[in-house]
Amino acid sequence: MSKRLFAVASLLIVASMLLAACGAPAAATQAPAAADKVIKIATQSPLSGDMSAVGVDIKRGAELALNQLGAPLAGMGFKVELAPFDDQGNPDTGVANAKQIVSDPAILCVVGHYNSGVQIPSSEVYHTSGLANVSPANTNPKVTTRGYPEINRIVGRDDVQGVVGADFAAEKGVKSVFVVHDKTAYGQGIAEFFKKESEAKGMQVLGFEGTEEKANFDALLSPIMAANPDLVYFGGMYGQAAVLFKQARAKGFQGMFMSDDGFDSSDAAKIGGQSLIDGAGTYYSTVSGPATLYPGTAKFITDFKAAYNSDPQPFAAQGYDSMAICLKAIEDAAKANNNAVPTRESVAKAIRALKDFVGITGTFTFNSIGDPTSAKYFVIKVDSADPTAWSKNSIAETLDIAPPQ
Amino acid sequence: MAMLEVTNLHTYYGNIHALKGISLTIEQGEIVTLIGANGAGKTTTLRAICGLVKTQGGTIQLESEDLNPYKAHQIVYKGVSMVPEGRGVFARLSVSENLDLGAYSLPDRKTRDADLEKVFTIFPRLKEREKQIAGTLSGGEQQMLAIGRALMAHPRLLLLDEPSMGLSPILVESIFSTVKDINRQGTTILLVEQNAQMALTIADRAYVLESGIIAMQGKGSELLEDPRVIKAYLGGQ
Amino acid sequence: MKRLFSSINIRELLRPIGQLAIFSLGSAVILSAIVLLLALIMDKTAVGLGVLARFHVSLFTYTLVNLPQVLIDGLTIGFVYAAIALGYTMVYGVLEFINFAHSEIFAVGAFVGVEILIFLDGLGILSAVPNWAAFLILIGAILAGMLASGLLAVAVERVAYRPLRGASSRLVPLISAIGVSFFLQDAIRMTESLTTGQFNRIFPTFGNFDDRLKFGELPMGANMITLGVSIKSIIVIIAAVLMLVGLNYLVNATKIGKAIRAVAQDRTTANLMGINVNYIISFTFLVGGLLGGAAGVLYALKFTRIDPFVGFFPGLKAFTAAVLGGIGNITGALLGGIVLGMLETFAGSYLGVFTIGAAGTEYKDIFAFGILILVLIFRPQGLMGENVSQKA
Repeated sequence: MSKRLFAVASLLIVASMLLAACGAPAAATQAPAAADKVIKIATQSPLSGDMSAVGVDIKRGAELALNQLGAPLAGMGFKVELAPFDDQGNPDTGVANAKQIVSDPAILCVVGHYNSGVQIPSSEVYHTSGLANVSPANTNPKVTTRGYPEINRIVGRDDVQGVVGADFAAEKGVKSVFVVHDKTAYGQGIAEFFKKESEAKGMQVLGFEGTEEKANFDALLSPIMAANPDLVYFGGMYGQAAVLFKQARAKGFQGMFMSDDGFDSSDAAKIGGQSLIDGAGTYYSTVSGPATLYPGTAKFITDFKAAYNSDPQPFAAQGYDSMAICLKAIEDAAKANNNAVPTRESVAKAIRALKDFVGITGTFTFNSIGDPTSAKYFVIKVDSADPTAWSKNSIAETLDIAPPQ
Repeated sequence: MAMLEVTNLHTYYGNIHALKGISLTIEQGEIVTLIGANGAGKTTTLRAICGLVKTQGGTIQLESEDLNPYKAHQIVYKGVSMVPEGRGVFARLSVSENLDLGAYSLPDRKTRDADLEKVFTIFPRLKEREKQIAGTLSGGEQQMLAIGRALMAHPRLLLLDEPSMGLSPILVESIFSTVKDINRQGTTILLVEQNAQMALTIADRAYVLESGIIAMQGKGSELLEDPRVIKAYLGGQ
Repeated sequence: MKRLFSSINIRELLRPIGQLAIFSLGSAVILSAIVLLLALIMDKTAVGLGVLARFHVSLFTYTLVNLPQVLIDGLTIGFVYAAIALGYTMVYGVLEFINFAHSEIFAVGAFVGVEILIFLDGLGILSAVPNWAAFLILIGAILAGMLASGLLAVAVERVAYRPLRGASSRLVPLISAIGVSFFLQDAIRMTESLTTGQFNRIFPTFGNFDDRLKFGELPMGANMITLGVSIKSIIVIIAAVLMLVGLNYLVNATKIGKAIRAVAQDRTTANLMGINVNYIISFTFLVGGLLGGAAGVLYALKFTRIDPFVGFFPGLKAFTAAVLGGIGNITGALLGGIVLGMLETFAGSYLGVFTIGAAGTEYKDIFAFGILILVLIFRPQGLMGENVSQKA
């Protein structure tokens, strides 16, 4: 009897470990198709966990692009497949997936990563095998400043985003700021750029704090309340930012809140509710405006809703464009290779060779390190405590800025 | 009908065959003692009766009811209480809490005060120490507490495992006379002892255990005179 | 009726409340004295001048004015830790085994409570209810969370711990507990992703729990520091006190409590008293689970957002609190929780100022745990470790 129960207990442990480990290799097990002209394009984004709302829609955006724009390659006799990977927003998982991805020779391009902290180590792996990566969302400067010939992005950069935020605050008459970040490459990076620009604009920086806390911000709020700044800035994700803002408002903070594109999720309104609207309100800068904002996205939104029965989250349209760029580059490279499967290197080169590629979120030409030659930045105001109205938040400012050299 | 009837009892500790077919009988109102050398199986026999050791062969019947299907904590409810070797008082609980735990198997608390009074009459020292933490009592007091606690459950059969262990000769004498008193008030007793002299003196009947089997049995007074018993267990005088 | 009344042991009801008051006041006074002293000493140094430049008040004034709010916040989080720590300490007291899955039992309680509230919110019930009804609904959600966690704790013990109870090494059940912990985390994650598809679950806004009672304002230079405590913090504190008093009464003044303490000391002898040891151990897990579940819902109420890994940090902190107070000791868990909560809040609130921003709130845990290590070097048995008669 006890032996059997012991067995049950050990099984439970094993099962729990399997559960913990699963979620990653969803795509790797797909059997290769019979034709030898199979091309795969991988996506990597958080499909489970904290940031899955956005991560799943990046994958869906890419999937939609493959379904709509795959015809030219199909016409050339290729079978193009999507290979979605779940990086869980976790660098370790992202790197492990990346190793699987580079070991599958059919994969010629990666649409990937929501988190810069995951993209940076994962792209080191892509770089080892010259595999092209188009990032739909990663804003940390390091994504491109390493100068890898395969790594590109279609969005703006944190060093610009932090500056955009600080400039906007200065325009709004903010005199003093308290800067908080989440200690990640992304959040801390953007917060440092924000701080630097704030000081340059003559605003007083009353504090600069990092925290991994997700629930109890009481201790952090004591110095903030004592400092009583005009603006509290959070560099990081909405899961922390919205909780911090809510607790600050509950303690009587009446000033302005500001955050970055990590704040851009309807869950932020779900958590923060009315406290985001009260006082001087809440703003966030982003490199990805609501899908409605872009000239070419009207059809995308309709198609997306039809396919997935929900509004696209931020970065879904960028997922679509990243896939479109991958498809176009593969097509170009294949044509140059007598309609045979192109090499990874030639695909990476083809991406850099694109001139004024027209996507739904903009027209893309990449510079020598893989940044788009001009990127859009937005400052958005949270208008409603209702999470379902998140995508209707108004745009306070739109800027087209070239990447810093 | 015997109070307790053990027939052909076998137990094992792992591969060691500890009890090899023990049979013994205790009649209502008797004091029966089990004597023998260390490791002969005396304690094992007691532990088997109160359900702490699993039996593998043979039967244990309390007033004709088979005890085998019952677990240790259920056997208390049948009227069997055990005072374990080394007393087993709850050292971090007070004397009165220990006594209350003795009455755990009784459904209501109505008889508690009367029972306590009875125990305190037998062991006046415990009344003085009522609020004291049991671990701070002397060895003799702990033995009193252990016996008193067992009595709180209204046992019909009281199992005593080495009550004299580690006590001074005067205390041993007093404990044994108390055991005799308890028996006179109607509680049947099975006593396991190393101190064979004392045990045989107060016992009605006795069994001698050797390596897991009953080697001898008879009236306490008779065994006291038996040369083999004298040689093996009474210091050979 | 009179008999019923006389059978209630008033002393055991009042004693823990007295202890709570002493611990809260004591740690508040000691920590306040330390920071005020530090502030006085450093007033004329670069630290004090830095404060003067930023806030236009002296360091001492800054420290003093912020103190009341820091104390309130520290006490609140301290009570949360204490409530969770009770579950660790109960199980450790009886089995001398650290139930690492307790943090997930806590998380399950939080999820059950929050899911019920989200469901009611979805029906449109919550937004319309008056405050008294909101309280009743909250109590209902807490009870549901308690029930779920209690039953889960019993099931976990039955499946994953009891078969290992005779194991030769104490590490065996410990590893099993860690396995259960991972299993439950991912079970919650999987359940949520299959049903709601969401990772974050948000405690719905209803009733007046978010309101804040204001005690007044303290002037600090040009700023006013408002003193206040939210209704939900008061609920957390009252609930934690009730849990502690209830548990203390159960363990120290009831028959089953005596049986729990007997099993904790000597299972074999407890058996001889007619105590069903397995039943008592299950009951202990049930009680620990009930407390953990209640703490989970209260945690969600206080901090709004939960996710499948929500148990990890509070669990770790509460375990630490239990060790700090003397694991296995109910009063110790309470003291440990209060001290840890206070230390953490003090460190978080003042570190930045006292180090001129070099080490801010982010180092509060390092600081708090550093103190903890110091305490354990001098008192390895924990603060209340010697009080063995309390052990349960």
